[in-house]
Amino acid sequence: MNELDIAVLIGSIFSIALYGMWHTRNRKDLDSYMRGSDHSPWWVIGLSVMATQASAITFLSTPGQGYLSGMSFLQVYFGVPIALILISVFFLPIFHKLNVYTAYEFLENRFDTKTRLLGAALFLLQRGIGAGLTIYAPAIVLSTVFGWSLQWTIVSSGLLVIVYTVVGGTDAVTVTQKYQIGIIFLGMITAFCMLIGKLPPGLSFGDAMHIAGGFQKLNAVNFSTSLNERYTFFSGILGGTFLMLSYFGTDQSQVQRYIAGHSLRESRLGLLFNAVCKIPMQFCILLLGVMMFVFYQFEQPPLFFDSVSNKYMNTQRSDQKLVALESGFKSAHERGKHNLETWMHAKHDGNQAQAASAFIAAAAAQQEAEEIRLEAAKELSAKNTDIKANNADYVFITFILRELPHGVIGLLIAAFFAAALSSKAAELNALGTSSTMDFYKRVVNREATDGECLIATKAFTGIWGIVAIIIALFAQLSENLIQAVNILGSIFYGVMLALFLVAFFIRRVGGTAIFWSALVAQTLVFILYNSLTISYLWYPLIGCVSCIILSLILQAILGSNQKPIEEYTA
Amino acid sequence: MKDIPVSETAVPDDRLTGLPWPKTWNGAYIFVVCHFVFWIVLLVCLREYCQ
Repeated sequence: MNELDIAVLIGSIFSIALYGMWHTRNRKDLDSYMRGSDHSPWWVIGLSVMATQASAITFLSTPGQGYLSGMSFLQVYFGVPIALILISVFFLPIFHKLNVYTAYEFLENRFDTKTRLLGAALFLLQRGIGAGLTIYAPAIVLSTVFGWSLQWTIVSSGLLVIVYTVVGGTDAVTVTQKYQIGIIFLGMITAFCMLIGKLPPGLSFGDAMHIAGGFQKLNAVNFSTSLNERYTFFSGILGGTFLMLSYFGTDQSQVQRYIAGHSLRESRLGLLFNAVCKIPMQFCILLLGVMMFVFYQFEQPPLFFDSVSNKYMNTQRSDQKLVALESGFKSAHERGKHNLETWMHAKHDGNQAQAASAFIAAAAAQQEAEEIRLEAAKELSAKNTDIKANNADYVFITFILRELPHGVIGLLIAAFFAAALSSKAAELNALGTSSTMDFYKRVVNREATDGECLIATKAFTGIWGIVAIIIALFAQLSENLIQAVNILGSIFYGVMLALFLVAFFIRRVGGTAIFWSALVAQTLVFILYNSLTISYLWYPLIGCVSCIILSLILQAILGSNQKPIEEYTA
Repeated sequence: MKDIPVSETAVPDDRLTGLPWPKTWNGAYIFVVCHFVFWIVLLVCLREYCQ
């Protein structure tokens, strides 16, 4: 990065944060601090929901996922449209009617205090850890690549978001997210256009898509019924719907975004905006990764994109096996490149037979290169157990630094920071609100005035920010970043969703039955996660269904629920 | 006569989307489902066409 990049980065990130603080300088009452200024239009709510979900991890790691595994990751998002329609129809009207600050307030109205506290505690536990990952994930990549101190990257970006979230509350989050998502889109579109411009002369976009398809990178829909395959159409539709229903419907960091709408209509349209845009948006991010894959068929890629592995590799020049693997990788790549150029010329000349044979040879060379890369990664891990070549998180940043001009590099780093700050701000805002309304006002100080609650919310937001920084400072990930975040959610979300589904649809179940069922089901999910190898997308479904069935059985044993609940059910 | 602020009198009409199209919520939900099906078909076609 040079001075221009740093100017673009600091200028855009700090100006948005300062604007957020200035814009919300007069927000002094609890309602506007927690629920926003009450005049956000639907598209602002929609962008806020989108920015909350799309963290820096989405933009750093997903293109790498596209590069390595193709489009199959898109199936995770197949549940989004269905989930958001269900939330719009059943969840939103009740949240709006009860005028709640947190989703868990509703659980007390419908069940009892202990169930509300359980729902809030599950949220705080899961989201508290998640907030640490949100800040750790981009910091580890950016600090490794740029040689910055990891600790200082975590602490400085963490403190910046704490300051403007504590000062401005929900409004600051919504206002800054609007501009942050603008920076993100501008950065990603610029990167995509420049990448297409860097494809070899004579290779059209259609040719590039044919190469990607021929190398199995466009398999976005996999109709396999195997439970062990991580991403399939069915795990996306069934497991993904439960995961997204739980995330958007019961996670306070999302609920707080869309209940900020001044009417049910604005909130609903904000959600449906995401139902329509999410799959195309993720498709474009993955396509960026797939196009990078095509680009690197014609340009020599590094053996490892992961800079830690690369640096370690450079210290092992005396190791004959590693050097031989590296040279084998280069020669396989050269062969693949030569065959693809032959394919391109033969295709344009109409020589179908030569084109087909050249493509088969290119695919074989690419397969060989990937096998060498895997073997080299194993060899590296065997020599040093701390090294785990994690290419997915580093592919995009490597491309940015090697191929894009200064200024654009600054813009893209600003986009990653904007994404990190936007999702982190929403998380802290929700953690502070839930800690205050579900625990402080409900358990510690039931007579608290609005002024006391406002001070408590600001204090809790700051405390959660510091907790997230501490978690980030001690974090270690074995999965790649985007998957680690989804796995964490999958473990907790099923039971959280069951609390709400039973509340809305199963009138006969009362607080005691659902409370104990939730505890048992959550324990079951922990046990299964540690003992099975099935796709993580199934855990929300397992947690949710087991909790519902257990609650029905337990309620049958306890006898009928006597609490009047008509107002709180769908 | 005292003017009543608009915000106190206007009851938001949540039964309609307020968009030129689709006007009703059922129409909006059908649009979302059709858009989703369209993308699935598009992705399958992309996979088959670019093999």
